[in-house]
Amino acid sequence: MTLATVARSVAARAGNVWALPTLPLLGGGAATAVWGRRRAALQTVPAVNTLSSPSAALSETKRPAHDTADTFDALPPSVTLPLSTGPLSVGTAATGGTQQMNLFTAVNDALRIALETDESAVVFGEDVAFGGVFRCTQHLRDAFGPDRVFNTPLCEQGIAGFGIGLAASGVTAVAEIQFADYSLPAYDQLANEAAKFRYRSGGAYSAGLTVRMPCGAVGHGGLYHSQSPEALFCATPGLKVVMPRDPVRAKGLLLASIRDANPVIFMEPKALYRASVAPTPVEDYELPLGVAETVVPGRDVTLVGWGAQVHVLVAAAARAAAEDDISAEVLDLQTLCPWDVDAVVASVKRTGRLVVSHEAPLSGGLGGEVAATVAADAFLSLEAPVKRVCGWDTPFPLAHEKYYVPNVERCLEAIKDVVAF
Amino acid sequence: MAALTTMTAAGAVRAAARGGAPRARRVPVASRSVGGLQARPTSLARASGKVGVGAPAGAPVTSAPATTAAAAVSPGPRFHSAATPAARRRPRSTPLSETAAALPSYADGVVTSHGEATAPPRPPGTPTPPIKDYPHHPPPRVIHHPSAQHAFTKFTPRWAATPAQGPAPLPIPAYRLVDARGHFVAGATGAAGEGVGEDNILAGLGGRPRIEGLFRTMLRLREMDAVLTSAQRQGRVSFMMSTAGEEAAVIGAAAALRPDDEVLAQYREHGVLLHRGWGLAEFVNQCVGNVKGSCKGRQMPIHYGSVEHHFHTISSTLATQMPQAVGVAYALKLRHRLAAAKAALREDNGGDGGVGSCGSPRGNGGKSAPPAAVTTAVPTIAACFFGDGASSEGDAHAAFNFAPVLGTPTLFLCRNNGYAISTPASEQYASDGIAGRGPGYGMPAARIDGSDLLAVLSGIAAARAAVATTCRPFLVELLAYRQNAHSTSDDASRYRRDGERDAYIERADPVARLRALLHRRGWWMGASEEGVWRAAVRAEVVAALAAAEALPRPGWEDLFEDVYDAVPQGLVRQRDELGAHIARAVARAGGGSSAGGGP
Repeated sequence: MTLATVARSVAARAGNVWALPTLPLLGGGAATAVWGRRRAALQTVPAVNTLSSPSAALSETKRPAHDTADTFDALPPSVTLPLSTGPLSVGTAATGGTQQMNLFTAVNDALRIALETDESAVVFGEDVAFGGVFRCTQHLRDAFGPDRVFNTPLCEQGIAGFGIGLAASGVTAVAEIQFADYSLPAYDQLANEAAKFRYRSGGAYSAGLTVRMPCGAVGHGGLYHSQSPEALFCATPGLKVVMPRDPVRAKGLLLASIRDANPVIFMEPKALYRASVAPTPVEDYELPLGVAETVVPGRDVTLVGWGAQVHVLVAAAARAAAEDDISAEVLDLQTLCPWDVDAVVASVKRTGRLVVSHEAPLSGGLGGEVAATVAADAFLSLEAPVKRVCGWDTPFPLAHEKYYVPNVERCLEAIKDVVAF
Repeated sequence: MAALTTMTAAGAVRAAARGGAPRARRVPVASRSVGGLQARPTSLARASGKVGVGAPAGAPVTSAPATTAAAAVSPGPRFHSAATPAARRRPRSTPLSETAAALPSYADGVVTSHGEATAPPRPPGTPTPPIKDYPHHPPPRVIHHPSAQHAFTKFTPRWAATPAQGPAPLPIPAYRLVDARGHFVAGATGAAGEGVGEDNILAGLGGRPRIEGLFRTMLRLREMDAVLTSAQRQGRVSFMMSTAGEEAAVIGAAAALRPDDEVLAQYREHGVLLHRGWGLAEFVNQCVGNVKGSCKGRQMPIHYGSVEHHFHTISSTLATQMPQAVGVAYALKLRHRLAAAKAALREDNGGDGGVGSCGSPRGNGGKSAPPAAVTTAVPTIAACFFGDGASSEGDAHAAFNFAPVLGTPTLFLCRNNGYAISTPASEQYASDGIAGRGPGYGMPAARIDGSDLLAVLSGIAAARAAVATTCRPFLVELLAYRQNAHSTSDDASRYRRDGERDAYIERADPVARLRALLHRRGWWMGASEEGVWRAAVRAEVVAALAAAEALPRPGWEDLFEDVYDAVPQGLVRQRDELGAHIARAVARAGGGSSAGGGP
């Protein structure tokens, strides 16, 4: 203990001083962190490797035990993502390889990297300090201190407004709304303030905060723990809306969202937090926003979805292939606003048919936007009317959840319908 | 403070009679509730956190700026302090108890406020609380879950607005230095250490040059508003709002802040920009919405903003700026703490001692290794303006709660001008105005006569000092009267009594009051010179307006800019669609001028 340290601790216990949380405040990335967002180089593996090597090295030693536990030798050497803009390889041996993660540990890993690489990054929200009700923020407070990872009072409009103020001051703000169902008190701040800050100030100010919120059906959530209000945010120019379907996408898309200059609503399908497990790159990588991914290539019909619904569509595509020899192409939009029109239109021009599916209610859902755009841009390629398989226009039910959600059977019916049209 | 303790004076007496063990944390007797009324601290020092209230006489006072130190000995205005950290701060020599050390710390540097569970030595026979449910519990900044620290068998509701519950506590008084005729009130005392009496206060506030300069800024604001209101009537500007009646509140607040304090305003505080040197051209360019306008013609007039002048761009939505101001203040604090932590790290690594943070207590008598601690002081703060109507919004509650909980240097400045469009204050709230809410949120509060420039200057300087030194929020309510209608779209005669406006102008016109003071001191320029000067300002505004009108509006392509940092794929398509439509329309019109009206 140096003299200065002793003096500081003594001074900290005296009246009008703060304790100096040196290492926690600076976090593990003290040596390399910078104030404010810096975009990692995208897509080229060597560049990512160069930029992220400090945090990749740190992550070797700092990674919590829980996600190394199920590491097994079958992990692939890297992950290749079939983006609409071309394949992207991440997690190669040169960049640290992959580790088994589920969706919440991938989110946690992305947050840790964001805090490490950007000393201005802060993570806050209700119950965030102890790790969050879905454990997405666990261990972060220990690593980065209470100045950068902290609870807020229970008030969504306050969380959003507070985050906007932080972001407008150059801080990288990552807010958590505990459930997307509770984002509505924050809707004014997000839609009228965050979304319009750059526009209304003539580009002088901006509020590029990231708001994470768990969304979607979970089997027992009822009206207020199940909703997917993405359409509300997609209808607000100025916001970006992102929904990942697995840990690999969650980590890469969340890092891209945090480092994006615009406000991003990052919706995490809560049913996948533990259910979706995949070998996930250890490195610091970003997946481009606004780019869809071809999850399953096919010839006969295009299936468009996002979040947990992609898994339903993949299962329905497999059933369609097995039962009727239908070759369905599954597209994951990933970014819902602005969404990848070119990828969807190009796919429908090849297949001639479209089924779009989401958990949110049919009317006013993003599926309508996709259908209308395809009808306008690929009209002459369409062999059948566009079909939407969505939640009904009711509140999200509890006992009747299985009738509400657009499950595999309903999607399969729609696929057969459009192919047989 | 006193009124916030969970124990009433009567309860204390009963407790004393029962004679329990010494209470862990006590509010000094002098500031306790007496007879159901608030006993108020009379020293700014308590609010500003410079002196531990509970410290014994002669206890060491931490280094303080001269102005604040002076305030500690003068009977200043009455600030209604919530349980500020200062009120609970123990003497510096008290060791940190094991219990406190084991407690979690929260985001606002609460290490300090939570790490003080040990009681200062107290004289024998001191009354003690009857029940202490949670011995491990930190001293309450507010009442912590799962119950109050003390429980009584008697149901003792706090005062509410029902006669059955006895007399109401006195409202928080408004701080005033100069009366309507320009005379100093008896016992006038500067809030920020200016001393007592007219000469001391005037000197402390900067003397003739500063006061006279601010008078001219107030006049300039009034003239600019008048010209632009006329321009609206002529259809040259689409909309306008006037500051008339609130010039002292706005200009005084601006002058009491540092020029680089971040200001998040509502919509009637453009005087801050005027005071900070934003040019008339900037104002009128925005109002006209031309290519040089600060928001590129995208917002209605008066939605000003300037990064260089630390003035966040106005939005029409009410109170949204309030939680944002908490975030801005948190960012200021975070940046400051980070810099201090890095400097300390360098020091630890054998550096040259680095640069200490603002106001850091450095000297420890030794030649080397000064204490690398950071004081709670921050160099700049966030100041947030809002109105009496906005204070009813949910965002106001969010901000009032977040700021003390997260410990942010936010100065809340409420312009209570008596009306939210047509709704009078009496139909807006049943509380003791806006200031009365501060203590309930754990935040000190003060009320100031907003028509009195000197009181605004001094009071807000004191409140700002408290915010900057303690890194905690402060709520100031400025009482003023909105002389004109809400905006040019409003007609105040439909909801105001005849003669009301005239009566208030006579009683509370900030310009007239300051003019009377200047006149009495022999500092006024005189009626004729003022007339000439004001006419010159008017001419300046008219000329600026004409120049602004001569500039083109932004081109139609600009419609799609700044929605995102880069125009996304879908918007490019929409821009192309509009472009093609315009081209066709122009062609149909025979190749005349652009349908978009752009350059």
